Amino acid sequence: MKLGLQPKSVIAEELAESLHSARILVVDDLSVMCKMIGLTLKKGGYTNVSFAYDGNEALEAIAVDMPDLVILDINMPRLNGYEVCRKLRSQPETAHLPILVQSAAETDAERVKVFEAGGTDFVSKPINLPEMLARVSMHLGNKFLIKSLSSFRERLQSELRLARDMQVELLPATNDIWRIQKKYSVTIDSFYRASSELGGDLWGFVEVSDTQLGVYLIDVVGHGVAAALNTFRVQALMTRLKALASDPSAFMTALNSALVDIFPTGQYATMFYGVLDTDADTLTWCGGAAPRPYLMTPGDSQQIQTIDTRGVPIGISRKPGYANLVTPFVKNQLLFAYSDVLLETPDIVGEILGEEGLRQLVQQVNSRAKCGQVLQETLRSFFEKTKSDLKDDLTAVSIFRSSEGIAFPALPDLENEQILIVSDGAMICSALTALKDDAFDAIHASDMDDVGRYLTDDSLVLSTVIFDLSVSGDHLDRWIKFILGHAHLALLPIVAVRDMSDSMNLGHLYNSGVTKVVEVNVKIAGLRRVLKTFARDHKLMINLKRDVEWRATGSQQISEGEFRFQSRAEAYDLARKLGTVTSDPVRVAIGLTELLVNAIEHGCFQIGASEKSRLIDQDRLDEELNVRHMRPEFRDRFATVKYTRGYDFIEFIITDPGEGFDYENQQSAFQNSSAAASGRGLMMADQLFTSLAYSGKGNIVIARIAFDGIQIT
Amino acid sequence: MPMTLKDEGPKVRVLFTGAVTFAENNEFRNLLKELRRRELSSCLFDLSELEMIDSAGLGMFLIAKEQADASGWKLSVEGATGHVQDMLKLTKLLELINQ
Repeated sequence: MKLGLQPKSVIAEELAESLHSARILVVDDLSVMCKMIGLTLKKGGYTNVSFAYDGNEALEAIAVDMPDLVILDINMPRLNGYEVCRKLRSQPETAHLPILVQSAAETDAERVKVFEAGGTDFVSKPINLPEMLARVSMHLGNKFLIKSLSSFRERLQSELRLARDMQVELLPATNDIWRIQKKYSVTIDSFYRASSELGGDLWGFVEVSDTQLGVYLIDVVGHGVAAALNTFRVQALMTRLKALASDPSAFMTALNSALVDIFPTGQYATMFYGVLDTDADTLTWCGGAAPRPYLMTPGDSQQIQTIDTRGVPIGISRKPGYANLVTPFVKNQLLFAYSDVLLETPDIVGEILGEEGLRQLVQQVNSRAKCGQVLQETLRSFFEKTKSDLKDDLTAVSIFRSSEGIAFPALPDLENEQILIVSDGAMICSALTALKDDAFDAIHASDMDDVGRYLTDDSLVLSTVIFDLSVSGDHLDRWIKFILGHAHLALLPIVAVRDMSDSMNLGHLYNSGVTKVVEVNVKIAGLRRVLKTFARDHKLMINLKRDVEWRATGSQQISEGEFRFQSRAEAYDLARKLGTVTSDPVRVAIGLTELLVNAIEHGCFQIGASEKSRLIDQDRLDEELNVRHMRPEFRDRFATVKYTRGYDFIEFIITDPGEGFDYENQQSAFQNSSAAASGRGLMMADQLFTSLAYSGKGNIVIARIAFDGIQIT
Repeated sequence: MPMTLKDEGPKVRVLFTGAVTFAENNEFRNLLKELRRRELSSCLFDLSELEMIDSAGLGMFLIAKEQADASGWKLSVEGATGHVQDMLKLTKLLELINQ
């Protein structure tokens, strides 16, 4: 057995040392046998031998001090050798303990009996002492080598993880991406998943000028440590070539020259480098055999444009002949680039997408895409079809030139939103007809059986539930519990309509999970505004959930750290990204969204509870947030979330620059009035996290998720 | 991969079938060793029956080209079809190798 780490002689030495200090337990009811075996072992160099004279003694001795090997007699009174064997094999600690059974074992049936009981090997009876020594030596030797190999493997695994973490560090950071989005009025979506081995993918941005944004995707061929090391080299070389970044062919020519000398023959990298010019509305690029990116207008059924990347990969030729190509890249267009794993991973029936397959998929996704969710929908589809492990790193990047500034996450369109109204009152019946418009469709449930039916109908996608308290007051708690208890309903906004004269306590309503209470004589227009806000929020959360689900199964993308965020858009993005690194991504992403958005609304923009309620009534919350974001006194305010991992917990500490509140003097932090308007949201966060606590002046929230010792990868 | 060598004196023809990928690395190296043994003036790689090539496979052709240049024989690659032809076109390596 070669370990390939140390020369054979060193291993032999180490082996010899550990063999002779090995603990051997000899079990025999005849003391003369014990003496004989003991003496032979001593002569063989084994100094650490102990004895037991019956089965029970043996088990006790093993429990107290685990031996490395046991020599066990079969025929013993009270507890015989077979029973001892079976007992030892049934316990995890001794399941693999080498047990040499002394047995006459003259017949096959007897031999089988020994192996079935769990014996590792025989020592024949009458005892042949040199043979026994040889077997002891062999079994101890195996044990040592296996242990050595296991710890070598463990060390290698942790070094690989470290190397992969270092590779992830090379990719653009979340804060940089947000900054670039603002600077160039683009919406960027990206996805990176490392393969099970180390890979050679590298991608990033170059801020060439205030109006020029460069993006590159590089795939160094090969796997393992060599490919990974090469990505570091390439990255280092590129930082030195910044001056050429406005000219893709010059940039790639220079990079290529440096690599040709470094890479051995046969080693190369495919590359795409493009520069978006926001003034000229063009994309200038150069290709080195990278997979072909696509340029498209989301929502348009026109043919998507394939970007020509024919060219010699970098690192091969001294005269690659790179030349720039130009094409219009205007507002509302999206560029989608990716690594070839997308083309080459087989699906469940063994077929690969291939270039034509991917082009068709992207074409389809694009024609349906709202607000540029091309990357998201393409990859979701890809992951649904391919259940196998990725053979290589998967990189995908999309750059969407949004015409209205930052659109992430895009406010969803409302169409045919189903509102369930639970009432038998006259007022509500007229509301039913009044509510119906392009955005809404109302469904009426007048008795409690109906409610159950609608809530459990899989074909119905509800947007909000409205309970008329005069009808359903007594049942409200029960229905709320039902809704909150079902994963696919838990995010559903709940509106309670009450009579002004109703004595039902507002605080109690909010604490039980109602999202909003409206008065019975509310104008329809007002109700509709409230419903619009909720419907959009609900859709956002559903999208977040779907997004997190497909992004999450894989290796982490963010290690511990502290992140700053300044807007709701950034809060959503961060909640999604942080959610994906835990082993309960949807739960964390949704819980964090509530906490992070709260930090922005209350802490950064100082929108108090009653003000928020009023803004929701007027459906002006988003507008107000955008306006405040631009005011000088709010522009530079930011909140932070600190993320730390322990062995069996994850912790998020969210700090906002607000005034906080007197949390110590509340019965429960979540019953205070400033939380009331966000009551439902914070209540959900409370349920989703193992513990939630306030600190500081009430502007610091500590959210923890504890695991039962399961390690998060 | 099976590669079959057809001797036509100092001109050798190698027929590739199946795939040239990382898995065929050893076989390819043996082929190059075999070519080194002979006094070649030229060698033709016939890819008409080659179905699949990956980035490692392209790398191996580059190594063959390097050996050809160093040992003074002419390497030419012909007959690529389908996926293999696409890869050679995308990477512009056909022109490079046949130079």
